[in-house]
Amino acid sequence: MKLRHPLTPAWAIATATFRESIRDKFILGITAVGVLITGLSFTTGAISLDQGTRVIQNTGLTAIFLTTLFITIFTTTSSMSRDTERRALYFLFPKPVSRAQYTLGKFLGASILLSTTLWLMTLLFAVGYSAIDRSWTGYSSILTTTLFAWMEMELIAGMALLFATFAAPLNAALYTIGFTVIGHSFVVLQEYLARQDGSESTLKLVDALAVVLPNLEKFSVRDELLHGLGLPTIWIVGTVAYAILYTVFLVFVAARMQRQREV
Amino acid sequence: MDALLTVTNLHKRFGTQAAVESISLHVAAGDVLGIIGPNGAGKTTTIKMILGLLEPTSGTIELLGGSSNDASVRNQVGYMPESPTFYPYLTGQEVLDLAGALFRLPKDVVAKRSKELLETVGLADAANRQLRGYSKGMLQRICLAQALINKPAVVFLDEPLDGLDPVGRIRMREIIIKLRSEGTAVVLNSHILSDVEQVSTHVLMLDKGTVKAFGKVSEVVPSGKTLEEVFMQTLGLIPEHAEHPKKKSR
Repeated sequence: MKLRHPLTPAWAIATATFRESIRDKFILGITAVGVLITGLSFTTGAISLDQGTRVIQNTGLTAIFLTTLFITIFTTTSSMSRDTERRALYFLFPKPVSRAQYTLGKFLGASILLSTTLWLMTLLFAVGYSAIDRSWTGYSSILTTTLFAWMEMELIAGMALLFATFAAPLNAALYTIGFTVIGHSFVVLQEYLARQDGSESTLKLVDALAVVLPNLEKFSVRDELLHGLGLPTIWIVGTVAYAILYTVFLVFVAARMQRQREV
Repeated sequence: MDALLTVTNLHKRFGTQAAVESISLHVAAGDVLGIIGPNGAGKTTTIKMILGLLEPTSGTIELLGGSSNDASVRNQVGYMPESPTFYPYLTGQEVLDLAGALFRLPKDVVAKRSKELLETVGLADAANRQLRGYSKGMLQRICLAQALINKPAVVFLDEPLDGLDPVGRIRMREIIIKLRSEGTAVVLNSHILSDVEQVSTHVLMLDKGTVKAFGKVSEVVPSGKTLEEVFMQTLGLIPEHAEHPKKKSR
């Protein structure tokens, strides 16, 4: 008998995780609220004089990203603890499933869920947006902003997964939110210190932290695109590489942590 | 007959508390080993160590000629955990598909096998219902089905009769006896001693992590006595020569 591909167990865990999440009414409810808020963003255009399309894009995409962020953090951190509470680990681990396959499966499950949510909501938004602006610049801006947000969400899912291997779901969610806020604060902090004439060593420390901790501000390209500024190719390549490497690193460490756990 | 499972001098401590002390046993093909004992006797801990879910403090475990951490060994093992709820939003069929995929079995094999198993455990009509709509007995049965998806050489059943109605218990006993006749080794934990006595070929009696009795059922239970009487006497709950209270009242 020819066995299926060695990655089959990880993929099976991923699809089971995705199905479990998508059938959970709580997740559906959050997505519905997100869609509603995104829809309301079209009304903001009417009250914003000649900046209508920009405001609609800004508020609409922000609503989409916040919804996806919430779902990513909530499902990733709770999914692992649910497996423990519901004794799913006793179902999984006596079978030929390694901890690495399990961790990868959990990450892929979260990834499928966040990708589905993000891209479906973006598609709905783009359809609505086409009623007010059919320019290529508008679509390109929505697509590029969402692509970078998608990479950021994958990285955040990796972070949430890592915290979920050693912390309770609420703590893991709080750690993830904390690091997400920190990850978006480096540029502000760097600018603030530069203005305050901060010491060389403090600036170097902040620079070093921006390298070690996830620098999520790299993925915020909305302002540049809304103001018609182009993104340099070398910068795009660097940011994509950063997202992939950092996410792989987080999932790898999560798998190592998972190996240490007794069921 | 060659042993499929050999456990020698197994110990497990949680901090300063001894959960299992010096357990040794062996199980051959076609044996049904019933592990009995009061709550906290170390039954589930022993099974978890054998399956590699817990690390023993000391002692050796040889399962199917290797270690339970080897994928080749796990491919031939089935496990039905106690009180399963695992994936409430998956259907019974999806749970079996998932179990088959974890063993990397080809899709057509999983489809054929899961159809047979759903018939065997009486869940063919509920195959497309989500687990959250299942009763406790149905969860027990789907959990048994997933444990058998790979046609295991050794299957571990943790409280398989718990939560089943009389018909479900009879059916479960029949399945265990069928597995035994097919040469599958079965290790089961249960509090229902009459059922253990009916289906087991061997019995391991544990109390406070230590072995109180181990051997063939015919050796542990003298003729004219029941396993329940022997169990109560061994644990000092009724005097050695006293009659079981139930028998007296008859």
